[in-house]
Amino acid sequence: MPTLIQLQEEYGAKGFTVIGIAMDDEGAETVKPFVETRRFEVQGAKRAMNYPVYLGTQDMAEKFGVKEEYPSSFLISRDGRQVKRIVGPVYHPSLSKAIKGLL
Amino acid sequence: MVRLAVSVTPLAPFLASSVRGLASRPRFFRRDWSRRSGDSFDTPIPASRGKDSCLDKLSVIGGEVPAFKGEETKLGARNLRILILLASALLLSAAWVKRDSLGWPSWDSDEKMCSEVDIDLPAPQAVFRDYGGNWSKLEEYKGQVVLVNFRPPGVLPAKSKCPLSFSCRKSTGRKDSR
Repeated sequence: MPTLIQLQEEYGAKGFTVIGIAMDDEGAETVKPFVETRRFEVQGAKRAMNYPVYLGTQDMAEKFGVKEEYPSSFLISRDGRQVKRIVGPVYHPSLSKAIKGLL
Repeated sequence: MVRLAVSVTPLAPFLASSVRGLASRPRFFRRDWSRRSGDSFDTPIPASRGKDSCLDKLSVIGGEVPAFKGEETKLGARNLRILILLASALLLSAAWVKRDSLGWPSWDSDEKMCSEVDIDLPAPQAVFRDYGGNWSKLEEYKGQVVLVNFRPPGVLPAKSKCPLSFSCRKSTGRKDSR
């Protein structure tokens, strides 16, 4: 999540956004306090989540081809095509490079 | 790490020879532990110690101190090995500093611990609901570069849910896993 916050900070103004999908069984009760109160250390500073977080469902995940692999991320280009799938933690340098190539 | 191993492999014979060279030091520096503290140089030396032993040569009182030509050669070889070892270390250090351009993973990164695959598929028609009850569509983000990230917030990924066991062990070991 610190990486996602950092990417949103770096490229948010250039036409990039992160969409967080919380696959939490307890839904809004758990997600809301987590998003609003949790702070993450990003480059030495405590930061709140700066991107939208939605509640996920299994159907939604399956539309993306996600069954049980969490975390999973999908990079979507400006024209609405999925160009990269990442299963596991995201890595800033490689993702940053990919985003720059799409912006 | 595989790339690191491949890069270092050609240097292995040099490193090994250098280490061997340091291990087998010239006899000039070896101590003869068989000589007791009470022994004088007049004490006869057993033949088993060898004719070329340094102590044997020194025990000849009044005799000529033998030259150490052989030892000088060994010292030269030793210096050469140390030089190779230092050069290898310098090379590895330089490569480590430039590891990003070489494609090596950085020390504190999670790179290559999980899969990253290039695909070319249309984004699905997805509708999202936030915790406030507001709905939005993925289509609304068209024209932007979007990263959709699926994960349970506040819950570290379960080991059984990740297809790559090594990466999961690593990611679950961190409090704020990315």
